[in-house]
Amino acid sequence: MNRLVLGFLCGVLAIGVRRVPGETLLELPRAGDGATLAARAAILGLVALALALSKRTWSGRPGTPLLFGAALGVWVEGLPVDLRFNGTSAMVPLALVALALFVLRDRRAEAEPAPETNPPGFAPAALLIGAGVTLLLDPLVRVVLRFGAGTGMEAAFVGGLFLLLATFGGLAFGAPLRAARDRAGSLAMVVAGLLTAPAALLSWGALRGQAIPPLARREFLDRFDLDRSLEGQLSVLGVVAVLGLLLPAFTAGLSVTCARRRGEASSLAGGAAIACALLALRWVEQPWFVGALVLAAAAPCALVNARAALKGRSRVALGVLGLIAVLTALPLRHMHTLDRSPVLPWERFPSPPGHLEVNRDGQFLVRRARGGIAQVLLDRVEIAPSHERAAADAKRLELALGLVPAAARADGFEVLLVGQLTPGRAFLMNTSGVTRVDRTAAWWRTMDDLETRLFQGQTEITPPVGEVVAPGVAEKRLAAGAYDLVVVPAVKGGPPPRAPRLPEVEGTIVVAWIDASLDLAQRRLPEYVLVTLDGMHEPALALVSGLELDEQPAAPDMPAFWRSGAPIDAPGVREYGFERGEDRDRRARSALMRRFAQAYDNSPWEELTAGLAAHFEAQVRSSPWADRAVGSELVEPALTHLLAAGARAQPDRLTREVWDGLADILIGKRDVEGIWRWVEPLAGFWDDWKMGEIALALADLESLDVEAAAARLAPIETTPADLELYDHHRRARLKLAAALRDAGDAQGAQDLVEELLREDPENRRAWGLLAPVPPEEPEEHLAPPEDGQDDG
Amino acid sequence: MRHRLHLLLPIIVLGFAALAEASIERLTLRQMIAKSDAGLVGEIIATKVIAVPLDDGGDELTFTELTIEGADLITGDAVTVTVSYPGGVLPGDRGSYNSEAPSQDDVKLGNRVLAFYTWTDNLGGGHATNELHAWHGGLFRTFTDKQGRVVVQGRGPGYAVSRNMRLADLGDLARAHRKSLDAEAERTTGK
Repeated sequence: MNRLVLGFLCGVLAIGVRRVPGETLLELPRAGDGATLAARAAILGLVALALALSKRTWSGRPGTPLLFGAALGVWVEGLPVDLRFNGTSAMVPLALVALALFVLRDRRAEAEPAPETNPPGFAPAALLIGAGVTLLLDPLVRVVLRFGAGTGMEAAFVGGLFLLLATFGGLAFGAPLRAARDRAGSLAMVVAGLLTAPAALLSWGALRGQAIPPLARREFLDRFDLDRSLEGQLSVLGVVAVLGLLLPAFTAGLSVTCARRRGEASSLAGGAAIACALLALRWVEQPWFVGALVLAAAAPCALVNARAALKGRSRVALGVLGLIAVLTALPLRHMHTLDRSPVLPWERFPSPPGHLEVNRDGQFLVRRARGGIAQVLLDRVEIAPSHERAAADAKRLELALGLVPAAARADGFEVLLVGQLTPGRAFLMNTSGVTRVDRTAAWWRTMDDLETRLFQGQTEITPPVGEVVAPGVAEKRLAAGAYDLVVVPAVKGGPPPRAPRLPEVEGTIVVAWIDASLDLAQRRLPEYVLVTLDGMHEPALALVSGLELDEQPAAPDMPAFWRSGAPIDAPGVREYGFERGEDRDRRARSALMRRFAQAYDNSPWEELTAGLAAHFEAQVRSSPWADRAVGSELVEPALTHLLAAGARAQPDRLTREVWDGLADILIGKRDVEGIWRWVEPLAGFWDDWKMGEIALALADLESLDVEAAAARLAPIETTPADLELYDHHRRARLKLAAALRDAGDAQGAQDLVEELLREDPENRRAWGLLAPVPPEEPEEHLAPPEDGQDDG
Repeated sequence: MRHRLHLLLPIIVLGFAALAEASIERLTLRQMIAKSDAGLVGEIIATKVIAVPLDDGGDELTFTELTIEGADLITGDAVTVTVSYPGGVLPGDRGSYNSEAPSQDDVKLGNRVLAFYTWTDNLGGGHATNELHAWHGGLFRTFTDKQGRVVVQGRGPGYAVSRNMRLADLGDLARAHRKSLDAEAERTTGK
């Protein structure tokens, strides 16, 4: 029982110390893992001390209950989501106190400890085994964790599973070795430790053959009645973890079971602590190779220190196993090629593979998508947006840049970007008066390489003046007032971040975006936050400092800050462990909007927040072939609230944004009656609502009223800088040109087409309208229009 | 039996009927009228997804059924018909999406549509039904304009209704095609 309790406390401590994104502003996109590893090294050091001091708890008895207790401790502390996501757990100080009391109790007990039957001398070897096994397991566990959803609870799940497997290994194989243990001291502990090297090699092979290649992974998962669309869930992670960690877990568990002396147990923990410290300091570049060599060194160490306990055959066996460990190091040296194998997240429509970079910061994947936009994934977290989210990202950055006072913008201003610089972001900043952009984030060491890759081939957009700096340097510069604006772009994926305390520096505005698909409804947030939506698809909120946060903005084009309200809806293990990613995103957005609606019950923003809450509540999973408009659900209660919110002459910026988004969806759905019912009344209220007028013009075209459509479109002016508005305007004019041509107004059609070609001489559709109308001849097959294809 | 949601590419479609690739038949209105049993203009009054087990004990097939109440496009007779197409998702992640199915917007309850259908003894798994001809290519939404006229929304080149047309005009055109096709058939039979 004592070892069970001790193990439980050790498990709680080992997993309870962690950093989550948002502990500090500069860690909002991603938490640095160096601090977590360093803390774990310290915790393991304390555990080693506790084991060394616990005379009665350990002596002479197998360590299997400790392993089982640790597994329980890891799961009890690490899996409950509301505990999980709040950084270092409150259970950690309690566990430390409990551990101290446990050790004191052990030492004060009156009964004499059981004599340690095994001869001494294996402790130094145990230290090397603890270190070697930890170094070997580190890359294995990192690769296994890439099969999770990146929500942050995977470490607890995999850690607990590993300890459980180790328990089983100790129980299953410890009994047959009982005689060996008694006879040869802790020889079995060393043997088991040495076997971890070939076990790790076999595990690498298993992962490489069955889990990493997508097709092989599909077949592998099929055996368990799973499929790739479930990737990210604990079920898939579990089977991959067993595949990759089973053998090393058995050998490690057997080693702990056979450590009969508390000095050996303490040394195992101490070795693990040293290894964690080395990894935290980044002093080991190839842990798999170094780990095997360290393990191999345990053999001569045991031969030297415990020679009195070893007979002839034991010495030979030890020597042979040591040699095997050394030989294992040779193929393990090439494991960097396996470590570099991409573990790509499951996608409905797989993107082409891109450039892969794996280092201590993680697995980076740079993929070129449509429009030449490159997406960057860091361990499945999107740190540079894909084509789908680039527009939303641009709007948020533009909004943040617009918060800098006009006087500062006119003279040029300096920005700290906490995130990945991309050509799109650089373009916006270059054209907004930014004179210098320093960049930082947890992956700052890799940023220069990423920027070189992202800007490759860009002739018109160059990286702005500025440099990549370490977070510590950025923090000092920020505190010294070197920046006018600090902006943190939102990342997609990963655990829900904490809301960091924002620095208050005179003359510096801080805008930190967080994607609403991360569970924020449960978080403590500042009293006021900035909210934005990309149409109705990509809501996000921003934490802001350095500005007056006004709930009722002074001018219609100024953003409004919303009360964040009280936390609600903490999800549980079921939601995080067994939910598909897109379902989780929808649930998170809906919960956040509900939180805002509750905050604004009976107040000026009531209709808008209630409408948004109803809208996001109504969203459901759609066909993978539905585009964003078709895949959006529009429900009457939501639209009724939103119409009421808009029914005034001077709408605020967010209300306009919402209704631009709704008009976009109605256009995409070709919902003519919907446009008349919901858009037309508002167009009557608002002056110069271009999106509304375009939607109504398209509705006129659908109902074959070409004249009315032409009259609506004539006064509208847009430029490419208007992004989606310009796109809709262009398409509407193309449709009008086609309709004019079909109605016999060739000159009207020609004039419109020429106008479009002046704007964009490469507009294929416009050129097509200049050609004579071909007779309709059916072909044998017609491939349906592809998703997102320009239809005019 | 495995119940899981196949969200991958048109490979799903390979499990169904006669198509060898993810595309539908390109048809003019005349061809659609020739090849289908009838066209129906009406309101979707019911939708349902059904599962049909396969004889070999493997995966089941799912089909979506739409019950449409309205009038025949050509004759104007009142009629209620249930039409089907492959694909559909049941609770518990059973089923599959079909890339050639009408969109969820197209098949909402209460939508007024024009649907062309053809009887088949076996749409898949032995399921006998009125098949929505050419799947999404056989279903066209309609709306009522401000003057109270029904407009049928075309889907673009290659579809039976390629451009928006008033239902009245479409009905006239359909009747003209029907008459012409009947005359052609008579001539062929007479030979």
